[in-house]
Amino acid sequence: MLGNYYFAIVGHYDNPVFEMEYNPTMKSMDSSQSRDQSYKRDDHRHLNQFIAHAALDLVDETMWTTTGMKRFMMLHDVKNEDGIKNFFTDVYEIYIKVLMNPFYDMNCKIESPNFERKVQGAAKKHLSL
Amino acid sequence: MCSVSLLSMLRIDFGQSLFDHCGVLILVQPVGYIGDKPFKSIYDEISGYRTAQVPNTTRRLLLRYAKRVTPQFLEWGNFHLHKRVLGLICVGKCSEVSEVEKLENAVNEIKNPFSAILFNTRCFVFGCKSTNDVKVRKDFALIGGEDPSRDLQNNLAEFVASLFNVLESKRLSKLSEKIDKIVLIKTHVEHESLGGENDSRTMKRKTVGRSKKYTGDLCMLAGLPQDALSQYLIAGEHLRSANDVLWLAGAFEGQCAASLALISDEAQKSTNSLILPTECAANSVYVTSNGLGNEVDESKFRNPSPLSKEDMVDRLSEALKLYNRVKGAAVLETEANLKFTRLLIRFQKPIEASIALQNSMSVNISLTELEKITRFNTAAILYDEIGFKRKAAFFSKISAVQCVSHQLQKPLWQLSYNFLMDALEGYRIHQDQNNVSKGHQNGWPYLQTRILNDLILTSRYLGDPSLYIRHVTFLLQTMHEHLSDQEKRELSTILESSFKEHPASPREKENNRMDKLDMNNLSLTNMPVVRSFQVQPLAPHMRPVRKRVLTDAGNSSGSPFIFSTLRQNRKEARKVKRVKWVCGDIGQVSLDVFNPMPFELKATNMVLCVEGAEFEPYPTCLSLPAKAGPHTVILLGIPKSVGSLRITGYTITVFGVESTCKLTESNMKSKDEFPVIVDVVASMPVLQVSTSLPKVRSRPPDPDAPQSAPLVTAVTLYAGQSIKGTVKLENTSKLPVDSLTITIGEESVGNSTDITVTITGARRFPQRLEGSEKAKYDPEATWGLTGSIHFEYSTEAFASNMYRKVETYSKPQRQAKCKQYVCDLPVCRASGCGNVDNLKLDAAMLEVLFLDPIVFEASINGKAYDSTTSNEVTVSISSIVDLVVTVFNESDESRGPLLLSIDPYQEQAFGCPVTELDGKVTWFGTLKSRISELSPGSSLCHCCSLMFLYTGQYTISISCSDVSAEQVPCNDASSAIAESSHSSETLRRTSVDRLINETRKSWTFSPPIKIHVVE
Repeated sequence: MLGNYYFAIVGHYDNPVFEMEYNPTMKSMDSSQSRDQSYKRDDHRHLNQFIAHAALDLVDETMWTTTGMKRFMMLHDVKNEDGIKNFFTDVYEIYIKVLMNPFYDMNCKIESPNFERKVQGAAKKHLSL
Repeated sequence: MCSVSLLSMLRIDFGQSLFDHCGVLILVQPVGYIGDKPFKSIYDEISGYRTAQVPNTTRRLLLRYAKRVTPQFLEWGNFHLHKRVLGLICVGKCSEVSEVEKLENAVNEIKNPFSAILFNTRCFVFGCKSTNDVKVRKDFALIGGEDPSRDLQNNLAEFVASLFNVLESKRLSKLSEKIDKIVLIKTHVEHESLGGENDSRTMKRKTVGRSKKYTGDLCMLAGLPQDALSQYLIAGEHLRSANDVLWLAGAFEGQCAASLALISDEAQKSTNSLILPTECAANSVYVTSNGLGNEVDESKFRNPSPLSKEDMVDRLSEALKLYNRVKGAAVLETEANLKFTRLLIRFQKPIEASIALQNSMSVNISLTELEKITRFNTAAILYDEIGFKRKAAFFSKISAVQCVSHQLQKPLWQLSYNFLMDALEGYRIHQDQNNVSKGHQNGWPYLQTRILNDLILTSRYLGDPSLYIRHVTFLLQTMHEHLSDQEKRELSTILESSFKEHPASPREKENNRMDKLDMNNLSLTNMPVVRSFQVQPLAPHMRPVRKRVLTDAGNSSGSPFIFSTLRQNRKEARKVKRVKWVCGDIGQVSLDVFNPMPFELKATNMVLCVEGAEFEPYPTCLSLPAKAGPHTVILLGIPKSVGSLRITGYTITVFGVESTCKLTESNMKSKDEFPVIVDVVASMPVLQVSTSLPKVRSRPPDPDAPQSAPLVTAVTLYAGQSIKGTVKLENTSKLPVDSLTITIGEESVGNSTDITVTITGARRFPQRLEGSEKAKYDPEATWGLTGSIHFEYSTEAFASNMYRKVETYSKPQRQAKCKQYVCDLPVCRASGCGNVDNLKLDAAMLEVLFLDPIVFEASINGKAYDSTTSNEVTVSISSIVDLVVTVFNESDESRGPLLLSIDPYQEQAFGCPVTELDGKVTWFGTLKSRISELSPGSSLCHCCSLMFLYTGQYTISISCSDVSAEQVPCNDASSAIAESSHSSETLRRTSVDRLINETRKSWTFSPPIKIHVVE
């Protein structure tokens, strides 16, 4: 079962702090190809963002958020509750490490390749069934 | 939130709420020739009456109005009575009563589709008065009295009363209906399905149940929710046992609606209520319901208490499930979902409400394009009510997209635009950028850019170029950080081209602008970026200076000195120092501008914005190349009134978009200067000072502002030299100068005064210190001094003790070479007096310094020989040269005896004099003459003649020596020897004395006379 995942960490002011798309087929492609493909699917991608943004209302109303009003949003087209839960737990841990970096400003975009790689790893671990 | 303001009843009423169950629907239609605007105002007036009070009872009718009803809307009119049009009001306009009849046909045309269901029709005709001559049909009402709104109210009340009467009679007849005569009410979706009526018992229950539901609807409309509730409850029992799913759900809805009407006081809130005529009240009798069958114990439903909130929620969700099971009831399901949503919002259950709303969106139903738009828009409105701004924005955006979908024959750009504007809030795009907290990212940049781009596209289709330009500018300003250079460049080309096409448009239609984007709130702070904002003080000579108040000194001495550790805050102290501008004089503000955009920025009309005192700013135009800066810009303006002037910001027009930017601390050069306040003092006269002395631009007092360097008068003088010049004072202003601290009398307006000034170079000789023989004194070293002449002047007509100060600087550079009391340097054409105050001179030095006491005058051949000007005298060989020498005593003591000697000689090479001139020259008279005494002021003349026997250069030296001490030298020498036993000190002093004596005893005519003897 292959699914498309769109993961975003949204900051306090509804600003995206981190965004990542993941689908299990991606690992078979090298990065240039995947970028090319994602460029083609730009329209689809912005729809993801719109949906994630609109969903924030319900998230704020019901779900748990991190202390800085950071929200982990996952848009997915296959059911994989346990996997996503574990993924969130892992990413939370990685994210806390980013927060502890004194040079990181809250609510700023995370531009750390290390973080990205780790999140990718977590995604690979939990989301590719 | 804007909504689709069509007010038409589509197939699905997206605006339904449970309250509408008790609303009597009245269709209002224009008839004949009546303009849109008059109709709209009449419609607004009519629809203001939301309720109607039945007199002498607590019953109250709820009125709903619609401008348009589609036939599909009525499909469910059998099922829900409130979805049926009960009354029709036509609105027409006639100038003559006779014309009224012509409207009849038109009214009938409107009436026809609804004729089966309408309770009553009325046509309101405006514009003419009823007269007795012409009879008007009963269903026509002429409204044209003095008070048309009261007329309208009365007629409307009458009309509603007629509807009420019909309702009431229907209700009563329904209540007293015999059980056998009840017919089964069917909805349009049930025609086929109810073929087999095998089970008569179930059928009967079904029939009764539906009839009860219908009765309940009637009660609801007639303002009896309590009765309605009991009817619905009975209907529910019957229908449940008959398993009539659709109608059971309808009965549940009715129960909730009736309960809600009972528990809420919504109806009471309405202010504008019609009072129905009293006649109709007679009909309103409470009739106890008849017993219909005995399967259901109706007694327990006599006076039911309304459902609790939880029960309502449960019943309604049950109804929704039931609707879902019925085929073809999607319309009802959608409406019920929306009703449920509104109910949950009312009960403040946002999550449940959002779920219900989501369900309403997912009902599988084929919709027309207009319905789709309405559905999304309704969702947006409801999400907004729930408080889910982001969801609301999302749906606003979707409805905006729907408005311009290809399926529509005519894209609804305006509507789309309005929806997009609604969506801005949810995406955290604030039109008023001034209120946005800075310093962090706000919102989702990608989505924001997207929405703003959509707005640009939509506004382009709206056909207002100014609106379009404003949106492009807005996007550039607000999303500047997130746009790529390529995008910015594209936007700029759009801007430029549309600005060229419509250069004047953005400003013209200020009043009838269709957008809500108020550009007053948009500050184009990024186009360009302003930094280093600084108020320039006036030039030094124009600067007002506060007069020292005399009482000041008195105050300080009058109060005791108290030491306090509390000092005035340094910062505060600094703040007090404000720049002063003078009323009527140009004030300057300097600032640096940067253009961060990748295109050339053309800003026109950049002016300062001020508060407080009146100010006349001068606009400045800028043209900044792409990504460049800083460029220093100076904004000018003239303050026009006295007071404190607060500079709040600046207005700039970029691509025709005018925006006002407020100053913030980040704009300032120094943060202490924020807020920028300038004191404006009253107009002051201007005194122009001009001198005849040469002018030089001096070093500016502020090195950063070279323009502040004043023109100064600079003179180079030798010590002791004097220069004369005039200083001309001219009052160039319109104000009189009343006082001038250099006392030259009063100045009158426009007059000028000349003052003659003499500047004398002075130099102090260094004091000779005791014991240090070698005083370091280098007379060649130049040195400078700045002197100044201050003019302080003010005008009387001005209270705040200000004056202006003009300083004339002089900065002489002196090359002092003065060894004499009076120096005269013919080479430099300079002369002057030296100051020798500190020079201690003894008698001998004075003797040297003093002018020669003996002065000569010579004349050759009767011509006076001037030693300074005449070079040489040319004579022919063997001719007689008459020489007359006159000796004057110019000292104030008599001299004598003196020996005047005239020595002719020849100068050889190397300047050696050859005095042995044997045979070369001969003379008559004596060359030496003895003068016994020469008293002060007297003179002595000596004549002789010379004859030169050979050609060549001759020199005649004339000297005069004091011969009174002639005998002394030998004595002197002997005495020197005699006194050799004296101390060496004495000896030295004597020899010095002698030296002085020798030098002093001889004077020469210098330079000597030169004579050239030729053949």
